This record gives sequence, C-alpha cells and structure tokens, in this order.
Amino acid sequence: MAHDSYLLMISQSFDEILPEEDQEVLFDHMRSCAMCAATWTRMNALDRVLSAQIEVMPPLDFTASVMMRVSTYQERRKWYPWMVATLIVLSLLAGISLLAPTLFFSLGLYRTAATWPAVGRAVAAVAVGFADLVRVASFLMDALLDWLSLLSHDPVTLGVVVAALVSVSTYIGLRETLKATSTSEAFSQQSA
Amino acid sequence: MEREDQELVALLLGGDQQAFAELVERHQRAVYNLTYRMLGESREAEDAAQEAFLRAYQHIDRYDPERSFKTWLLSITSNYCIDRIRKRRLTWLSLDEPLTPHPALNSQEGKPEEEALGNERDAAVHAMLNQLAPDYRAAVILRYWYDMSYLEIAEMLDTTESAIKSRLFRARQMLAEEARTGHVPGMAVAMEGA
Ligand SMILES: [Zn+2]
Repeated sequence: MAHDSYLLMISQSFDEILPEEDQEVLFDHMRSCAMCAATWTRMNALDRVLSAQIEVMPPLDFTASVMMRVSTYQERRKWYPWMVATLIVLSLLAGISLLAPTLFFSLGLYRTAATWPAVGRAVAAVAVGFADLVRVASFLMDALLDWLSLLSHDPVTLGVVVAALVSVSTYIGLRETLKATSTSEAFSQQSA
Repeated sequence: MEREDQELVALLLGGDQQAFAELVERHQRAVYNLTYRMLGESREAEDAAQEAFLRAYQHIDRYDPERSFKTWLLSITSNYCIDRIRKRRLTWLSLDEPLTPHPALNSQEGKPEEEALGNERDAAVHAMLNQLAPDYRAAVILRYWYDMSYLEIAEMLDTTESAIKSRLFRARQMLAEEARTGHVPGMAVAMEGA
C-alpha cells in the first residue's frame, strides 16, 4: 500500500471511524515507516490543538441587534407591495401618455371625437391644421428629394448648377472688390 | 430541547416575534462561534452571525421540522460564511488581514493565566484555519467545534460523506505540512503546548 492510503487512515483514526483491524495495520506500518510516524505525531498535535475548545461569547446586545435587523427587514417588506404598485401605475401612466396621441391620430379615433359637438370642432380644427402642416412639410421634403436625385443622376444638371454657383460667387466677389476700390479712390480724392 | 425549538418555530410562523428572539437567544453562541472561527475577526463575525439569523428568519417557511433547528441554522451560517470568504477574496481584503482576538474570548477553564495562554493559542488556530479554503475550513470547524459526523457535515454543506472525508484528510495534511515548515506564526508553539 502507498503512503497516501496510510495517511488517509491516520486522518480517519483521529475521526474515530477507522476499523480496529485497519488500526492494527496502520500501527504495524508506522513501526517501520518514519515518515508516516512523523505525520501521525504532527496530526496528533494538531488534533489536540483543534480539540481544545475555547468558546467566544457574542456581545451582550446581540439578540437586540438581530431583532433590530428583523424589524428593519419587516418595515421594508411592508412597503414593498406599495412600491411595486406605484411602479406599475407610473409605468402604465407613462405608456398611456405615449400611446394616446398615436392611437388618437393614426387609428383615426379623432374622427369619432369629431362627432361630439364642442370637442368635435376643436379636435377637427387641430386635425385639419395638423394635416395641412403635414402636407406642406411632405411637399417641401419631396421637392428637396427630387432635386437631390436629379443632381445625383444627371451630370449635365450637376455641371450647370456648379457652374451657376461658381459664376454667382465670382460675380459677388468682383462686385465687392470694385465697391471697396471706388470707395478708397473717393477717399483719396477728398483728402487731396 | 429540540421539541421546544420546533414549538418556537411554529409560534414564529404564527406571527410571534418574541419566539424568534428566544431562538436567537438560545443559539447565538453556536452561530457566533461558527462565524468567528470561519471569519477570524470579531466585528465581521458579529455582522455575519446577525445576517445568518436574518436569513433564517426570511426562510423560516423552508425549515423542515423533522430536522434539528440548530443543524439547519448552522448550515445557513456556514454556507453564508463560505460565500462571504469567497467574495472577500475577490476584493482587496486579502488573507493577510490582521487577526484581532475577541475581547470576550473566554476559555472554559476560566483561570486568568490560562485565558491568556488560550488567547495566544486561539490566534494561532485562526492563523492555521486561515490557510484553508473556506469549504475545508467549514468541515474542520464543524468536526472539531461542533463534534459533527461526516454525514451531518455533508448534509450541512450540501455534499457527500466521501467529499467530507477527503476534505478533512487534505486539511489535516496541509496543516501538518504547515506545522513542519513553520510558515504559520505561533502554530508550532501551539502544537508543542498541546
Ligand atoms: Zn509510510
């Protein structure tokens, strides 16, 4: 048998679970093996140190401290359902306030609302105004997109536009230069 | 005694808070000694012991009255301490933190000079236990301080009897090796005195 199995037997003998015949085998081995005998001595000393119980006492207010923790926990648990309920109500309100306008206009609920007398007129005015606004915005958007796609697809148009931009900026530049020159000439004539 | 524990648990389940205070009063020493041995520091031990009781309170409905209340409570405590040590290892608090002997440390013999000797030996024992991985440490503590069988320890730490057998063997081997090489301060002296 290898030393390791004897070492395991030593450990078990300190736990008092080693059968008597194994105990005999172990002691026989230790008489001839100095290494296992030395381990037994060390483990025996260790066993005595660990078995020498020294009891420590908890602080005098220990129970009171535990009960304080318990009551804090209960206090928190008492509020817990309310906190959850508040959170649910708040998320519902947030959801409704986000969904309401969408439902109102995109699902055509405003049409139903428009049949109610006073509210109907106000809602109708808002809806018409909104629709006009949307129409103007989409017309401008379409024009811009058409213009951009024309530029990107037609090199002649692109050339014309670039040439026009260059001419306009050159014209403006020249005019400003002339204006500045004539002013400074007028100045020098006056002072002469 | 056991029946009284179950009665108190029944009262607690019925809403009697005083019954829980009674259970704390009754088992505080067992729980506190376990956290103290596991964590090796009195302030942390106190906090862990309080937390273990709170956890028992929170999960009292999961307690099986067929089992011993003390074993259930110590099982919660040891598993909590193992978790705590593992978390502590992940943080900057290393294994080398200083060990402060508890002021209320009292030896069972009671004589002052023996108490002083006990303190020294206690610090050496802490230093020894500190060398062990938390689940090995728990097995050694439950075996020596609580005189529990392999089966009881296995049930408490949610493992098998053979795992406990090998943990105790490896722990002893490691500690014996530490004693031979003299890496742990005070250990050799403590073992000579034994
Ligand atoms: Zn040998």
